[in-house]
Formats: sequence, C-alpha cells, structure tokens
Amino acid sequence: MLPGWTKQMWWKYLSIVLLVYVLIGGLTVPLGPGLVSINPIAFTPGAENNFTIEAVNTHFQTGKNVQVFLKSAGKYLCVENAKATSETSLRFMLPMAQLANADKVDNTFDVIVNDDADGTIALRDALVMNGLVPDSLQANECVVAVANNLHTGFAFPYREILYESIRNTFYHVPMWFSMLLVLIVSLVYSIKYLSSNNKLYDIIAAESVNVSLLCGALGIVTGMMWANYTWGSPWPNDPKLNGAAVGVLIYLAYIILRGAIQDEVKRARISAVYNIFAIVIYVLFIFIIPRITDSLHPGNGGNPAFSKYDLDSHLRLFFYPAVIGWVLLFMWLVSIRVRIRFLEEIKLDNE
Amino acid sequence: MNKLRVAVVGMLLPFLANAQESGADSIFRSNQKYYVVAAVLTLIFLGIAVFLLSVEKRLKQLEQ
Repeated sequence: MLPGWTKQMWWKYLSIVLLVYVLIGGLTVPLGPGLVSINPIAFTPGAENNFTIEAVNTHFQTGKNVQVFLKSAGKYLCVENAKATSETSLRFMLPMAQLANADKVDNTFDVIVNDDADGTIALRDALVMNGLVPDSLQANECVVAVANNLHTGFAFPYREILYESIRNTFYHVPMWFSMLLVLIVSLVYSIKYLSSNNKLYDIIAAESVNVSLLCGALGIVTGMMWANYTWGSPWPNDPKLNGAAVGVLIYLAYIILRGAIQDEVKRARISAVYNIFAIVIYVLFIFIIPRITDSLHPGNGGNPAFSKYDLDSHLRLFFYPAVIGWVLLFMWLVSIRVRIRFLEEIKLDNE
Repeated sequence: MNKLRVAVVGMLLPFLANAQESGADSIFRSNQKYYVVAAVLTLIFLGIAVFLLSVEKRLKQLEQ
C-alpha cells in the first residue's frame, strides 16, 4: 500500500503556486541603488581633484539632500560641490584641505553617497591616494549627518560582485536544501525497509536517491554559472564545490551498487545499509569540511554567514517560498516515480 | 537514451548565455527584454507543471 502523501494533491498545487510567485517576483523586483564606479580612481594630494560617480537605480536628482563622504580608517571626509548630473551620476570635488589628520588616513577610501530616497550607498576601497601624505596637510574632519540611511523602495540588495545574479539565491540554494531533504526521506525509508523488509520502502528509498541526484545536478549547474560570474571560474578550488561533487558521486555509486546486484532482497538490504553510511559522508563533505577550512562560500571557512549580509527582508519574501516550493516539487517527482515503479511491480507480479 | 541526451543538452544550454554586466542588465530592463525573459521562463515552468499534472492524472487512471 502506497503512503498517503504520494496521492495527496494540495501540496503539489502549493509547489506550483509558490514557484510561479518566486519566478515572477524574483525576476522582476529591481535591485536597490548602488554605486558602480568612480572616475578617476586615484588622486594626488596637493591638488584639487574632480571626480565623477556612476550608479544604478539611484535618484540623485529627485532624491533630496545628496551628500558625498569619503571614509578611511574610520574617519569621514566631506567633499565639496557634490552635484547630480543625472539620476545615476554625480560630480564632486575633493579639496586637499579636507584631509584631516593626514597621518592617520590610509591611502584607500570608501566612497559613500547619501540622499533621502536611496539612503546610504557605498563603494568600498574605490579611491586610492597616490604617494605619501605630506605632514603639512591640514584639514577638517566632517560631521556626518544624514536624514535617512535606508533605501525606501521595494528592491533586492545591490551587492558588489553579485549584482543581478543575487536572484540565483532562489534557485541554487534551494536545490541543495531539496537534495538534503529528499535524501533524508530516502534514509528514513531505508531504515524502515531494514526493520520491515517491505519492498515498497526500498522502492521509495531508491527513487528518492534518483530525484536527489537531479537536485544535485541542478545545484551544481546553477552553482557553476554563479561561480563563473562572481568568482571568475565555473569550478574554483573550493572545498564546498569539491565536497558537493564527492557527495553526488557517493549517490551515483549507490545507483551503480543497486544495478550490480541481481538478487532483489540482497540488493535492497545492501543498498539500505549503504544509504545510511552515505548520508553521513554526504553531510561530512557538504556541511562540515567546508566550515573548518577556507572557502569562498558564505558561512564557511570563517566567512560571514549567508543570512547576515546577503539575505535581507526583501530577499526572504522570495527565498523561503522558493525553498518550500522546490522541496515540494522534487517530492512530487519522487511520488510520481514511486507510483510508476509500484505499478510496474504489480504488473510484473501479475505476469 | 535519447531522453537522457536531451536532458543533458538542456542542462548545459544556459552556459551559452554568459552572465551580463550590470550595465547590460540596465539595458535589458530599459527595453523590456528582461520582462520577456521572465515571462518565457514562467511559461516554461507552467508547461512543466501542466505536464506533471497530466502524468498525475494518467497515474490515477492506471491505479484505478
């Protein structure tokens, strides 16, 4: 007798609704404001320097109170004549007299822009000061006073390096969540098989592994595309990536193992035992090793956790539905595969 | 085997589209092409959902 969840429809419709919501919303919500570049990127002390800032999704002209600051070593320096030339670009002048306590200033500067509509946006280490700072440089440290720090519109965060690819959060990450959950389902049914010898449980465990491999393949493909854009290579030498590859290979070996054993009962028992050990090794390679070594992934190798910086409240509105939607969709595939296998078994028994 | 080949080729096709610079993203949005892409992706997903529902329907018939 098939488990009741395989035939229930409500969660299958729910997966469609959630994923349509994620697809449409996740692709159409714009990115928030952000600074793209500053020109020139270096300046020489002792002369007046004029700069141009280019940005995206900003409101420099319509937003009120546009202010520009430079930040270095915890000190803020105000600039002069900040003037918007369009909604996404502005010019400012940096008189050398503004360099306060020059001996304490590093030679790289973050450029920070604030206006009432866009809040505070920054470009880290954007500006380099050429040469040594003359001791005689006199200046005033400016007092930072802004009316609004936060962007007021509905948008995804603008992150340097990630840019528009931040939307891949709704596809790449849920693939691995789905793979793990489907593998846990497989583990549960493997244990149930060992305690009951019910052939149906073996079918559910095997089909769950098949579907989890699809999740893993899609996770690797979406990850490679993302890595190519953000890290410059589709497969950098990262323990999380190599661990994911090993994890997928472990379950490919499970499929090969099943195919190599002719006797049904022996195949089911050996693969169920293998499955229990496989998930331990999978968790070790995907979740534990990347956390104790250097890794490019957020939340691994001492990097800030994913949720701290990259997952803001607007992303969460789509990320959590995406995780639930993808998990339910893959469980739907499991249910279909199990029911087909179950019908095949009935047909074979009748013959 | 053919299905497997189609699946593998389908999975690799996205690599043909290189990720775009943020400037190109702005161009996509300004001429509405971005929204066409979003609409096509949604239609493809709805097609997959309809296919799964039809498989579900056929399975129910076979089970009865």
